[in-house]
Amino acid sequence: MLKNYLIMAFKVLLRRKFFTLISLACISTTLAILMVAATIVDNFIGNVPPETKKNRTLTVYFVALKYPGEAYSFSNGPPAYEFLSKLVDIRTLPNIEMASIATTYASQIPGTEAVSKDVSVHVDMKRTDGNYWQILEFDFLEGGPFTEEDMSDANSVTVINQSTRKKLFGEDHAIGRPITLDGVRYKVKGVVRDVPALQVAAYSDVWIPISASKTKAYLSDGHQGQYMGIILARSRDDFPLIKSEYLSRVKALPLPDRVVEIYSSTRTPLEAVADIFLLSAGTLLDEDHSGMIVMILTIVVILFLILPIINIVNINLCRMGERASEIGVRKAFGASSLVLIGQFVAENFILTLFGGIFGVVVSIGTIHILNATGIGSFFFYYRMFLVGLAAIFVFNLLSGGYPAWRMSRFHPVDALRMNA
Amino acid sequence: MINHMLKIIWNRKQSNLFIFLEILFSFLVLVLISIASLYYYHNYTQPLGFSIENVWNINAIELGDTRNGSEKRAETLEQYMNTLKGMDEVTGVGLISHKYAATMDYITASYEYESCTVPQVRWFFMDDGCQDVLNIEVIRGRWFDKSDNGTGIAPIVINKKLEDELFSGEDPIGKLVEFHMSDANYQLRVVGVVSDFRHFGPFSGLRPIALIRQHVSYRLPPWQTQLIIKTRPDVKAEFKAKLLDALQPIERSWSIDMSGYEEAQESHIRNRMRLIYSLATIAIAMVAMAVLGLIAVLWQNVRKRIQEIGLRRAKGATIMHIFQQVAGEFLIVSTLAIASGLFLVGQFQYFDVLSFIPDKIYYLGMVISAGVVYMLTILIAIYPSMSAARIQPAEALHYE
Repeated sequence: MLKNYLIMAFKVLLRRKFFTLISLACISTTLAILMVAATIVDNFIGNVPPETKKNRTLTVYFVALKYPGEAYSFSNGPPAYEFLSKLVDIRTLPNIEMASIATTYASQIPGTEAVSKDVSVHVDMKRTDGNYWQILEFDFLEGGPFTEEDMSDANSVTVINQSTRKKLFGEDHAIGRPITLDGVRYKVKGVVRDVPALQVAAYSDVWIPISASKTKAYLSDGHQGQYMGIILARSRDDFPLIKSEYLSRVKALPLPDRVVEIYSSTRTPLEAVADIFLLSAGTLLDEDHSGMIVMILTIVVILFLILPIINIVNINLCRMGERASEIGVRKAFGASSLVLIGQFVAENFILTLFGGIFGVVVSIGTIHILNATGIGSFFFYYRMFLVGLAAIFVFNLLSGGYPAWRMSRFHPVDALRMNA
Repeated sequence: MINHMLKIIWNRKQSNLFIFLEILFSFLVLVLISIASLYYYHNYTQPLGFSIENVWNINAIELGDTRNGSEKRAETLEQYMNTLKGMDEVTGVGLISHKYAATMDYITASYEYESCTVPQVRWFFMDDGCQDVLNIEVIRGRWFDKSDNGTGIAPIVINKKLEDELFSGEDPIGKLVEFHMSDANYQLRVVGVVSDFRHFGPFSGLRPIALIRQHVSYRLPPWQTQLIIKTRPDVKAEFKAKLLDALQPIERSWSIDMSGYEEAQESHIRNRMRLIYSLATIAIAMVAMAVLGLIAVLWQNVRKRIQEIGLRRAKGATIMHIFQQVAGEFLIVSTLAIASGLFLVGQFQYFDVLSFIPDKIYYLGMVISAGVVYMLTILIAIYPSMSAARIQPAEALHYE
């Protein structure tokens, strides 16, 4: 039975090569664009090295202070070191594996000049602690990370990335060599592979222990500053507990002068992405927008799919017209509508599958081109094949379903009378 | 003739409905992309209102992460400014609240004059030196200067757009306006009008903008103070190192970072163009697929009607008649689709959903897209209509 369908499908596809070609081109282009978009989204919210534990990670990246008055009298910004380490103390939250504090997105805070002998380059710098290197799994080319001891002893050590090593030392090893950052000398302790700038928590050129900064002002900097908290939960099931404990600690804080309320919460990667796109409204700081962003993305995908789907439906309807007499014969011999629908959806599925496979190949190629030309740096994961397969199924049902249903309703007598 | 065609179209309404939808959505995709591109292009051709040539941004930040800065902050900033003023290569030094082409970073407030209120006005803090640095074009009144010291009411300069919206023809110079932001209300005195100040980059649209005078001694938060300088055109790359060497010793606990306005604009344009190019590529690919699909569908429809065409030919219809009929039917369907598309887009324009887009860009985008879709329609119709016209009556009547 299935074999018959397959043979039928191939014969039909070969019968009108122009139609088949257009359908294939349309399906593969559409799916390729979808896959590229999905890969980019995946790189924002999925586990991507070195953020390999992202699905268990919560981040704290904003503290908002509300002042008296109408709406919009907010001051919203990254938390300060003191806020994370002392006021809320994220390291003692329940059911967590560990927590780390680091300066926020490295390209958004002023960088510095890294100097080694006579070479001076501009670098983005991140200040962090020892736990950071355990939550994020960097790929060390040489040496290793600095540790919690380096943090507590305020050792002047640094980790640099591959391209900074190349700029400062050429092809040489860098371990143990001194570099000057912001006028202070640090010893290179490790070299890591470059990380794309999309990765908020991981991206930087050089890393130093927070305690080895030029000033100690970070110890008493209040609520808002330039840090972020990274919390690794034991499992996702602990998220609600951690989130509610964090919120209750924030609510219990004494209010600074003139401030009427403090907002801050722990965010999953999806919630963080939702905040980036939707928080400009400025007022809904404590709420979870992840449902909304999923809805918006779904609407965008549906809008994007409309034109290709109408195109394929159109072509399929035409094809069916050609096969009216075949349908008439099958109906006359007792095939039920359901069987006919099944057959045509299966035929369409084969077409979509070919188009989909081609589309996946094109999307991997596109990702490689984007990476090679420096437009982005995205990882393509094999889990994206599942997304692709799901897209193929949905596309198939939408584009094949309606024509198949139309066709199954042909009256056998009419169908037999119709011309080929 | 038209009536006859409409009747035929109606009789085949189901297959025509899908052709109609396909053309409609192709049109909508084209309208979207053409309005976006035209809007960007239009903005790009407008003058910025100031000059970015040889302008540099010096981001001097007090390390230690204090949100409001220490007591010594103003003093240190002033030292930096004096050092910069003393350098040969520097022809102007200013203080401004925002980085150039930082499109997401802005503050808004509403402005009120007599009974007229303009909400969502984006504003900047700028000091007296900014005009030398940015060559801002003042069209009426004057830029801030020393005579504004100690007047009690802070002076502002507004752009032409805000002048038009707030004063509607009255002379704004010397008038007092109310400024509302959250729970704060101030009175400000208008001292000048500039043609525009599109500090959000060359793609930003026409908006009401206000510039409020600041001075290095005001305690503004660090993220709202950027030092800007203009250099002589002949300075070389080594200047950057020289400048950092001169500034860094002033205060060891500050971090200094220097970037050019021209670089910032280049990368801003590059990023935006990338976005537009990728969206345009996607749109063109989608429409191209639709065009190919429609050719196939139309051709197939002709094959189905081969007997009808044979009959008409046998009854004396010429090749031209057949061509006209097939192409005409398709053109009618696409006219209907384009008309509905224009109606839909017209609703957006009529109800000012995207009010920042000028009307003429709407109209131009609609006209261009309608023109392109018509051209594509004719292109699509040619081959199937010709193949229909070539059908021999004898052969067609045999066709089974």
